[in-house]
Amino acid sequence: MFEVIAYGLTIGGILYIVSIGFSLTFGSMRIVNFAHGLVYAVGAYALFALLPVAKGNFVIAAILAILASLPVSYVIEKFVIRRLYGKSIDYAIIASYAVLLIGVDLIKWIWGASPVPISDPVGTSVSFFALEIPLYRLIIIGLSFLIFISLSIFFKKSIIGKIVVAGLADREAVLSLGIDIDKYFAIVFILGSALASLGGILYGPISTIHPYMGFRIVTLCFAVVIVGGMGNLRGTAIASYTLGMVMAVTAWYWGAAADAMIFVVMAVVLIFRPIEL
Amino acid sequence: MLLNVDAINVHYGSAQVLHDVSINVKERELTCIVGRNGAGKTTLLKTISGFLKPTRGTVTFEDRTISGMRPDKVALLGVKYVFQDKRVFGDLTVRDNMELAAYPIKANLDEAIERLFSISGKMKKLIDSKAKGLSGGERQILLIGRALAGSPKLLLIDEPTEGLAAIVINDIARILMEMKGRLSMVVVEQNLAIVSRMADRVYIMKEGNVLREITEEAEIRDQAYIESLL
Repeated sequence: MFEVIAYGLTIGGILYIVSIGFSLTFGSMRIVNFAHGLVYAVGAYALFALLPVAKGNFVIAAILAILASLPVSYVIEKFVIRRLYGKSIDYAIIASYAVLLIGVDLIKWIWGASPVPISDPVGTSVSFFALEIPLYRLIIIGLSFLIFISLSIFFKKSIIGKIVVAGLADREAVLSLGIDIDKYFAIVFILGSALASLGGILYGPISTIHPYMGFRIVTLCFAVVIVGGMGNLRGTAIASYTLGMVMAVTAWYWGAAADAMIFVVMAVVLIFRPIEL
Repeated sequence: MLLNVDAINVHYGSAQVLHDVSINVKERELTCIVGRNGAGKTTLLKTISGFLKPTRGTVTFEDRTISGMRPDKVALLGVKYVFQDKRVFGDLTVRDNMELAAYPIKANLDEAIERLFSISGKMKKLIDSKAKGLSGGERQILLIGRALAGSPKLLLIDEPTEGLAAIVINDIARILMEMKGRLSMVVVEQNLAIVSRMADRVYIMKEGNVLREITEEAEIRDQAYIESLL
C-alpha cells in the first residue's frame, strides 16, 4: 500500500505542478488553455534534446529546458491567449486546441512519432517497510510540496501575488485602483507555463515521452480545475493530490480504469457542485 | 471645470442606455446623481471611469479627453471609482486591500492606512482581518479608504448607503460630509435625505437622460421637490 501512496503522491505532485498554471489561466482570464499541454510536452522534449548538451546533467538540462519552453509560452500568450480575453469560452477552447494540434505535429516533425525513453536521473531506490521506492519519485513529491509552499507564500506575501488573488476575485475592482491587471495575469501565465514545462520534465523519466503526452495531461488538468475550482490555489493542490491518489488506487486494482476514474470523480463533483463555465 | 461630460451616448450592444447625457463637476464640489433604477446612473459613472466607452460625445477631465481611455489609466489620473455592492477583496486582509490601493500610485501605505483610521477609528482593530469578514458598513468604509489613498482628485461613489442599516447610513453620510470641500465627488445616491443634506449640485436622471440640473441651494435642500422630479 505504501507503494500505491508513493505513486499517488508522485502523480498528484506532477498534476499539481502542471495544473496550477492551467487553473490560474482559467480563473483569471476565463480561458480554457489546451495549449498548456503543448508547453508540458515541449518541456519534456527540450529536456530530451538538451541532456546531451548538458553532458547528462539532469538539473542543468531541466533548467535549460524550462528556459527553452518559455518563448513558446510567450508566443502562445501574445498571439493567441491575449486575443481571447473577454471572448466566448468556445473560441478559447477551439483556438488553444488548434495550437496544441499544430504543436504536436511540429514535435512529430522534429523528433518523430515514436515514444522516447528518458532514464531515471537518480537511479537509486529507498527501502521503506520492505519496499523499494525510487528516490526520484520521492524527490518529485518533495519538490511538489516545496512548490506548493513557495506559491502559497508568493500569493500571500508578494505584491504581485496579492494583485493576482484580487484580480481572480474582481478584475474590475483591481483596474479601478489603477492597476493594469492584464500585465500581472501575463506574468502568472508565464509562471504557470514554466511549471507546466517542469511537469513534463519531471514526468519524462517516470514513463516515456511521446508527441501526444500533452493531450492526456491537459484533460487531467481540466478535471483538477473542475474538482478544485477555477483559480482556487488551495483547491488545485487538494484536487491534484486527491486525484493522483484516486489514479494510483484505481491502477492498483484495475490499471485500465485509472484515468477513467478521475473523470468519474469529476462527474460526481459536477453533479453535487455544478459550476458555471 | 474639473470634469465635463459632453453629450455622451452609451450602448449595451444594440440597446442605447444613455442619450446625450451632459454633466459638469467643479473642483471640491459634491455632485449627486439621483434617479430610479435603470435611469443610467451607474452606466454614467462606469463611462466616466473608463469601464464603458461612449459611442458619441466626450468625457473631459482637467481639460484632457478621457473617454475611451482604459479604466486603470483613468484611475492613475486621480479619478477613483467606488463600485456599488461593496466589492472588497475578501480573501485579502484590510491592510492588503490598502496596499493594493497605494501600490500603483506609489502612495505611502502607512499614510493611506492612517487616513483610513481617520475616517473610522473602528478599522484599527480590523486592519489584519480578512475583508470578507467585514460588515456592509465596514466594507464601504474600506472602499472609501482605498479610493482616498494617494490623494485622488475626483471620487465617483456608486450607491454608498445601499443595503445598509440606518445607523450605518448616518456614519457613511458623516464620512462623506467630512470629505466634502476637500476633494471633488460624484455620488450616485437613492437616499434623498442624504442628497438634500450634502449635495452642491444635483442631476436628476430618467431613462438614460439627464432630466434636470439643480444648483439652487433652496431647491437642493427641498427633498420633496427633488422627489417630485423623479
